[in-house]
Amino acid sequence: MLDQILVGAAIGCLYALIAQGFALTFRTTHTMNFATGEIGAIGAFVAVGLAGVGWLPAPAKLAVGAVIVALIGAVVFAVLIRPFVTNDGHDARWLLVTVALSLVAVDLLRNSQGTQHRPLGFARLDGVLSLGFARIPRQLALLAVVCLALGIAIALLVTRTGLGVRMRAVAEDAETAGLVGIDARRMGMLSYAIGSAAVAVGATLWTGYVGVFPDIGPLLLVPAFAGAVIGGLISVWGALAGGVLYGVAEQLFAHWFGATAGGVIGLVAVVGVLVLRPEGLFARRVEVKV
Amino acid sequence: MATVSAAPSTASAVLDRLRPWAFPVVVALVALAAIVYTTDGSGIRLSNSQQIGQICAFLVATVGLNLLVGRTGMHSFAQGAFLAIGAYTFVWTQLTWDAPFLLGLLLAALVPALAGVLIAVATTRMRGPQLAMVTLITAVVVYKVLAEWKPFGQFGGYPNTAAHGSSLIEPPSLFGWELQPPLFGGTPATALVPVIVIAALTLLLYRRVVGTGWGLSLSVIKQSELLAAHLGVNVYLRKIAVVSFAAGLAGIGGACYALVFAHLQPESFALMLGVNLIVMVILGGAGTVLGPVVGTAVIVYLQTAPSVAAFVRWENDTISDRWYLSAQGLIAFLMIAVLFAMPAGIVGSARRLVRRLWPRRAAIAPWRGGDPAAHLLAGSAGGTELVVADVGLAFGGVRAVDGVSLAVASGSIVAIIGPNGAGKSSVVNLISGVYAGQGGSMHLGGTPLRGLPAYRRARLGIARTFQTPILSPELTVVDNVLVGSDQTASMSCAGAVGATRAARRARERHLSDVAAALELVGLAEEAGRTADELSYGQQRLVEIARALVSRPCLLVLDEPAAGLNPTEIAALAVILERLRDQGLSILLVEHHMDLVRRIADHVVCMIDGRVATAADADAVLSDPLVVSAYLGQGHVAATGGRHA
Repeated sequence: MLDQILVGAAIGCLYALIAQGFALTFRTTHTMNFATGEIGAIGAFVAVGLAGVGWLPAPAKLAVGAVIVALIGAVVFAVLIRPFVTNDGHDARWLLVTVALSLVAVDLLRNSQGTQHRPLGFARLDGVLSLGFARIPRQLALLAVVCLALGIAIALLVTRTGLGVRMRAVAEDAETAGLVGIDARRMGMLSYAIGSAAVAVGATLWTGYVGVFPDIGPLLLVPAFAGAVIGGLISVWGALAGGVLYGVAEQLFAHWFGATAGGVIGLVAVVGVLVLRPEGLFARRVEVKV
Repeated sequence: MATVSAAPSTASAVLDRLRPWAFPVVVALVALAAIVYTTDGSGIRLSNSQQIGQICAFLVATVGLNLLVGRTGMHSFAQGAFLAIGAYTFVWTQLTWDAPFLLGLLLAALVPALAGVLIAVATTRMRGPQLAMVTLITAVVVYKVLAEWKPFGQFGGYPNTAAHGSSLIEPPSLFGWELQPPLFGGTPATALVPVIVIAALTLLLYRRVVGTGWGLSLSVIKQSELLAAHLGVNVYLRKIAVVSFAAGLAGIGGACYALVFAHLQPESFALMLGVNLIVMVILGGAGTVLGPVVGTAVIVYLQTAPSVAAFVRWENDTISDRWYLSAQGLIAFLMIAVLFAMPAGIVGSARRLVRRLWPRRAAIAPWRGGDPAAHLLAGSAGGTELVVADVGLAFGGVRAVDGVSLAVASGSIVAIIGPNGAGKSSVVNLISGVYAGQGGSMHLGGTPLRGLPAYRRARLGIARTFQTPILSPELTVVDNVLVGSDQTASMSCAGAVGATRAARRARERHLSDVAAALELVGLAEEAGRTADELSYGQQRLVEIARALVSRPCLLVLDEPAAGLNPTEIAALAVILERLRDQGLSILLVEHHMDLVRRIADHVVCMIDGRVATAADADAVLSDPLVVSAYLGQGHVAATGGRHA
């Protein structure tokens, strides 16, 4: 069982990183990209394309993929999401647009790349790492370390730097932030770029383990979103913890009750958290003034 | 005031009597034509019959979704999942119990409705698009369960030959009729009869429900949950009811789907189905009666018609044989295009055009009774007195309201004045129940208000207007006023579905109340216009009319004269005096001292969250403390306190 917990925690680190992307864009723009999984898939396919470039070291390949995907993320926000950013809490058009975008992206990837799994071709560690009390495939250990490092870096960026403060200012009140010279659009694009780049790196390393194919989106979207909700949607540290928690729960339930239970527990967890503690496990409740 | 033409001719009277039947008759004729076409049994019509069956099955689900998306402003991706749950429930009742058709249909509605309650409970306490997010997960997870769970045959489908000996359900029987699916040439597709009938009935049901108080309350929730609560609506329960109702309809749609295909494949119920259903509603026109019909027909056609395959071939020839969109991608792309280019949808845009060419007539008979104020306040509990004692409200460390006491004697007008930021609106919000506040007590006619949520206070008879008018811009003046009636709050979902004669009579009564209220505030001429066509001052008067239709015992007005010109203010003064003379207690926050001096029996001046002075208007307005708070210390020194 310790093995399951360890594997769950490792995959949970990937969920956590993506959940952080959700939290980052949600706190800055009150929107999030439901095509995030497809953003990850695009990153993985870009990485496959770069695999043949022999002279580029593996980390550089990951970095190039991340930059390309970051640009895609920023453009998606500016073109498709930003027109629908309003003060109306009921306005979910941004959500419809990003869900539709994910379906367009999957369709394009399926048609152009085929639906078969293919190897990533680099950044692949074989074998199993034994920690004494439990064992874990090396690739997953690499995934966990990289995702955790990126996640902590993002959390520190958001909570400790001037850039993070400016993002928060936009989140509080975009208009007032504009008056003191903060460009809400640029902050939004930046948060989307960071979130997308993180997803690209994480998803690419993960496809080193499971193979590259167009339909990885839903596999990543639901756990990451669940992690973000459990963490409170606006807390970058909470998202980190929520994602890891989700990964462990998923593995354990799949181990005890079968694969289906592993998938269902996510919905149960999200519903449970929303009923009992709507502000999330790790975020403070926000007082709303009418 | 209202000058309406004399007695209408008999011909137009007959037309008016027939008008309500036009829509049901057309729907019935179309349904009949569809039934005749599909049950003919010839092999050539099989694929068209399947298309019609599929459109009807999805239509039941999209009509339900339209209640959510179009009326209540809640976006749900789980409608496809609820449809799947309904379909599997129905097939399960047929396979394991051989249950009667109608029982299977009932269970197919109930199980998703209960699932809908769960989802709604989890999401509706939060503001924003949480429902959309959680329903997205629901859709993914339900698909996962259907595809992976062994009892449902995994990718072999349900039923399948390995487990059930056949890949098709036995045709259920209804009143001795075998319901044959449209799968075999030569066999009349009798299953399509109930499917088409159900779809037609669902459409009529939708049209009826949205016109009731319950249906109007959904539009109010979409516009503002705050307003809904102040009209006495328990927003939380109502959202649960509408999500559950929509889920139940999706379940019935699922049963219809199972009737049409006699077999279920999990792939048909992936997230894409939920997305498609939303696209159908939005493309057709969210919130319109015919929108889902048009949207569903277009999308089903796109999915099944050979012309789409031809379009994909064209893409391959002209663009690329690798980078192209197939049917699903095209539908998703269409969704993005519609959201950007035609947010009102096909029917919505067409309706807008029609309205511009032929503006709508007033949809209400003008008031012909006596004094409208007397009519509206007849039978209201006379002698309701509001007593507020020592209430407080703090935002963090700021004490916005600090130990305020005031009383509104029955049949009197009390005005709260004071400089900006003095806490006047906060007091009003404490009274109507927006804020809970700290300490003190409030009683309305002896009933304690403390601890009651806003909707309960509204039901006790507190009606209010807001600093910025909250109206539904797309609804007519009549409907905007009508939502004030107690039916909005008290009518249940079941009451809306099975509207009784009593409910219809109550509605007639409320419409005459609306006519009286519009006559009183002088908006009878504008009854048929939509709220967004009115001037700011007129919008304020609509709010007052809406408050009066609830037959309140206390009317609370937050700056009713703001933005009104002097003529309108004078008219407002007359209206309020007439209401007071009929025994209504009125509390208003106001900056226009002329109005206050003219109508207020008692004036409370607040400064920095406390009551500074309270007396009759002349005494308060000449109080040096009040003058200096408004005009500064220098003014008092210069004029020696002799402020006019």
